[in-house]
Amino acid sequence: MFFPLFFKECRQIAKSLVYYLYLIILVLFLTSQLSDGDWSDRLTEPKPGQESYGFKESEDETLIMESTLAELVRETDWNSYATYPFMFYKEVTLNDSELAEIEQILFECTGKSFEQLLDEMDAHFSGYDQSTMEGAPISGQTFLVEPAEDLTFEEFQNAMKRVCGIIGKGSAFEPEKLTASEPKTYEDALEDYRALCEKDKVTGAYMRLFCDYAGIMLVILPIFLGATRCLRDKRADAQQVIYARAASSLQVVGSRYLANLFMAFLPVVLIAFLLQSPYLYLARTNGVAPDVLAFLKYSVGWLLPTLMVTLALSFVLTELIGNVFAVILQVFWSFACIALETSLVGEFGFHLEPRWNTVGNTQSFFAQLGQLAINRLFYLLLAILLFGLTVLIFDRKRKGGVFWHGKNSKSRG
Amino acid sequence: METGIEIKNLSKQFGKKQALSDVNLTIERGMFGLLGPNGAGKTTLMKIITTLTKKSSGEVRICGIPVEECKRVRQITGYLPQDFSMYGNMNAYEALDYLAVLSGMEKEERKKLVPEMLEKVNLTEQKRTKVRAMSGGMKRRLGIAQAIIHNPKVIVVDEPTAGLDPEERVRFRNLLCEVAKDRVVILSTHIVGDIEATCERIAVLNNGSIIFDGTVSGLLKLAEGKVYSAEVSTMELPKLREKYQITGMLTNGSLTHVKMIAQTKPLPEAKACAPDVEDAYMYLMQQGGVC
Repeated sequence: MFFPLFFKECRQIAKSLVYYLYLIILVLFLTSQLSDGDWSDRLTEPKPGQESYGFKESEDETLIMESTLAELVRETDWNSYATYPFMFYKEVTLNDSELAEIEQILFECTGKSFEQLLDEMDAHFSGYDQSTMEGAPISGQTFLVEPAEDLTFEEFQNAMKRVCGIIGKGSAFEPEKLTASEPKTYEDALEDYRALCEKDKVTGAYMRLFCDYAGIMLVILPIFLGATRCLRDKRADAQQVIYARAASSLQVVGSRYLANLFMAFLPVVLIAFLLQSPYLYLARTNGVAPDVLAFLKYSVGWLLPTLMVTLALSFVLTELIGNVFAVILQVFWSFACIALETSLVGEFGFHLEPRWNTVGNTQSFFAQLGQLAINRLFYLLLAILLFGLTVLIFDRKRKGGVFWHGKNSKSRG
Repeated sequence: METGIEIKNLSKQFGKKQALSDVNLTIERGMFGLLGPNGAGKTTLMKIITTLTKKSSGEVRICGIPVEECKRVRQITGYLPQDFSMYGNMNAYEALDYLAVLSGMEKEERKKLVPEMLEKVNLTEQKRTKVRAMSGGMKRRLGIAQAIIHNPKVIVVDEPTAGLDPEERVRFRNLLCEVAKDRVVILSTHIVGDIEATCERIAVLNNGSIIFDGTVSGLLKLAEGKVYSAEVSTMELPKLREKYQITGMLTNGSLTHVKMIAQTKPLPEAKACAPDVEDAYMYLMQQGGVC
């Protein structure tokens, strides 16, 4: 009974308007976010004596303080602070008293007045033509602000906490996000190149970025697929006639859930395959053997648990609540999940949508792979648990069970 | 009883509301009518039989199977709910095929039976018509097809003719009689005409209790000598209505021919007449019931 039901469900989904909206949004979002990127440099083996090997994240506390203070001076000068409170850009503008507070913090951290700091910045940038960037110093030799001699890193972090209190959450001044970049050495560059070719086999690195963007969509879009399916019986007034059939609740809910999962996942895998194709070509033309199946490995390992949980939660909430409030509730939950992400790269923890908003960083990724595996396993189990709950709720409703948002049917006779 | 339904001391409560109270019924093969006013508890009883509502107490056995064994009971019952509908974007064939799959039927079986059932309910020409585009009558016919496609031993039909035009109603009653030949069909309705035309055995439910259980002739017997007809002035009608239950009238100018229920002769010119099922039902409801 299961497979005929499964195929009938798939057929019904393929006829649904919500599914086509899902496809359109998914395709447009992913292709717009992932369509560019020149990789030819990355696939060329670094040679000793090159002018630059790119940059890497620095752990040097002094450099972090210098770089962060410079950024704070720049943004204060423009009175325009970049924040990402819900992972989306928001410009913050401060009033005079707030600006004065920031200037005071800068004074405490540098021992210099804001005017002195502006003079330093002007002197630095006057060294080249800012409209053509001709003669511009490469990053790493960029504008830095020296901290006060006696300023410890902890004191600096506390000062940045105060800055965040003024401009709000999601800025580059969050104490746990403070960072700076420094030039890579030849050895660093060679190590990265080898990791990209040997561990990531080129396509793996790109697929992580794909998973980062696709994951955002898969935390939100499947809600509508799940809710549509669960509300369909009620909307068609077909609940009783379906409930009275011999099929078990596991077969009914299972076929619906798996059909939605299959139909939602299929385009993700296809898009992953298509977007991976140019990198297969690029790798081969550069003499590197790519991982042809990276699109499948990353889609299944990284994205499938996210999709499973989102869909299962949509099923359980819609079966339980039985109306559009289930959708509203889950949309809030999804946005909260995205908003609670603390890092755009790694630090997976138990975040529903593991982020890796960069190409490469292979060494760092493989160092965190265990953490990611635990995260994905947790969500896989959570999805199974939520699915089981949906089956129980459906079964209870079939037997006349009553939930707080009303009976599943009316008795009129 | 392996071919019928046995209900013993069945009660059902929804919170403080007693929907069914100590119901006892034995239903055998053939058409069985369940009559009662709206809110009497008919749908609740139907839902308990079809496993869609849990009973509070008592015992219900469907062809010997306790109603608690949902899966087994569902395999041998077919249900046509009061407001039967299916997914609007499915056509008649798809809807019937989908419900047949949910009843556990194999592909070959469905391939043979779905067209047969559509033929039986006269929907062959409309097999590609979407459910959303079907008339009330077509939907009910599709409803009866889905209720019998898996060859159940028991069919429960809840208010099947409400909202149908007279022609559709007659056609539907005939269809029900046809399918009742070798199985139990429970017809729940508040339309007396449906029962009169199709059922030999009936039960009357009121306020959650069975107030009559027997044959149609038994019900008619109850009202014998209690139904009178008379020709009265139309002006007198309101006064007459206050005193007696009027079950029928035909106005002809200033005179009206009335049929009424009364314990004794209501008017000197009134004549006792043979009751029909509607008269008997009205008499029973007025009396509060005798089992």
